[in-house]
Amino acid sequence: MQKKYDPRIKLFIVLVMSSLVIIFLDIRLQILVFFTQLFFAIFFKARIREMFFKLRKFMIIFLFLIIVQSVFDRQGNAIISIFNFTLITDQGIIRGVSYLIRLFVVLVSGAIIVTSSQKETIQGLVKLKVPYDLALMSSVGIRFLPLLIEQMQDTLIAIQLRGIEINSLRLADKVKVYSYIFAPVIISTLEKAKSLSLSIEMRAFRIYKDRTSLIELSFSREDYVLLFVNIALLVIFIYFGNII
Amino acid sequence: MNDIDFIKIKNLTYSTKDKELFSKINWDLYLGKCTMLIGENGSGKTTLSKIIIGIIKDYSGEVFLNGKLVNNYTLAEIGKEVGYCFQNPDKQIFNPTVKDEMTFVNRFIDYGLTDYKELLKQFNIEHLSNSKTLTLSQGEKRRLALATTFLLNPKFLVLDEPTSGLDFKNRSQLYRIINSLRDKGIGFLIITHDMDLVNNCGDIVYEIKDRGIKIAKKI
Ligand SMILES: Nc1ncnc2c1ncn2[C@@H]1O[C@H](COP(=O)(O)OP(=O)(O)OP(=O)(O)O)[C@@H](O)[C@H]1O
Ligand SMILES: [Mg+2]
Repeated sequence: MQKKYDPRIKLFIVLVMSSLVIIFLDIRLQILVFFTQLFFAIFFKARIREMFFKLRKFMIIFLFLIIVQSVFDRQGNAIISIFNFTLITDQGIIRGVSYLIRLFVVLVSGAIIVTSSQKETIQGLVKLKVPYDLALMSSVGIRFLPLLIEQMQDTLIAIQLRGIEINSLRLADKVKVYSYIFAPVIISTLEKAKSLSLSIEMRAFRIYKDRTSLIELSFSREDYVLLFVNIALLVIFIYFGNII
Repeated sequence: MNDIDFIKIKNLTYSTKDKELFSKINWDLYLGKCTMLIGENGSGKTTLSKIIIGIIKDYSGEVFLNGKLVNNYTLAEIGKEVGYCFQNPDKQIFNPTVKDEMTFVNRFIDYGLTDYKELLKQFNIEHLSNSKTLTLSQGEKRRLALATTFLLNPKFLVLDEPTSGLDFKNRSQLYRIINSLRDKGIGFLIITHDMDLVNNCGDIVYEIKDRGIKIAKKI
């Protein structure tokens, strides 16, 4: 049987790594954090390959993000310029890539969290003194992620079946088509959230202040080792962050 | 009538993650005919339709559309030949209003579309032209989804449970539409649990059973 790690450890790792990737401004450190987190994800057998595979169709949006980021960054040396107007600078590209890395760290975080069941994650958050409502909300939020991806894929298929060859559209039209993918996703998510909250109310949620739980969480030796490794990593990263 | 086989399935085998759904299926679908597909919940009707339409590609065997392998078409090319109505209309509707939904294609391509107002009239939703798609009733959504399926003048239509959620009047109207198009030479594959639809429109009825497909009734 596969060893189960305490959800609190996963939460801690995710918290540390995503804070670090946001605090660090140096792209080399961000990349380092990303790979460290990737290592943890593989360690917890998170399904990152599957996640990135599902996201492959949306890579163009990420690419678009990088370009937008780069265009609006005026510092650094020009790489592409039209007449005297600098379009893209090296600094701009670095900035764009760094946004992408941050986004990926968040996505991988989600993948790590869902390796624990929802109940375990909630219980982990509660044990960390997070109010139950908040714990429930955030763990439900993470669970919604795959649903969102599914919905986006369905809309993409529906658009293509209307005879629209997305790959051969002009860039402006392509962006327009992708904007159609997001609207139903957001709407259907809000709808699902609404019916979810209704059904939660119907089950008399929060009628008692304290809740008991069937799930008992306890740290095993492996969990402590992981915790120690993580704290060590945190110290090392911050130390490096200061000297670079 | 002269039957033209438009869709041809040869030796199709397909499994989901945990079970085999189809084993060596051979099946032909014709223009100018209304082929019905029935079967228990979870027997794989929707999955089979997604294979035909090119959404699912990881099967073994061959599926031909108009003499060419389905996997050699793009989804957009298939969309111009075959109309597909999803089992869940929400998957098909992604524009803010009914009118936007019907005119979506015009914003991107120049294509000989059916007059959308005429379609709205046929499906009895013309009065909803400016309504928000989000607030449509289930049956109205179904009719809108059906109407979009006919937009590109397809030669063949695959409808996944088209009558579910429709009232008696709108059902009868749908039967009329299907029958008149079939008489004009358009082919249909209709997945359904609705025996009334089968009796009114079906030319031949197939059933998915024990991972195979067999004729349940010839009309
Ligand atoms: N993406 C998927 N991953 C795993 N299993 C799937 C997937 N899609 C469908 N299945 C499974 O394949 C089987 C067939 O599903 P399908 O939707 O084709 O059934 P159906 O005959 O259309 O049923 P219904 O009458 O309820 O619409 C089901 O057991 C379903 O759980
Ligand atoms: Mg189905």
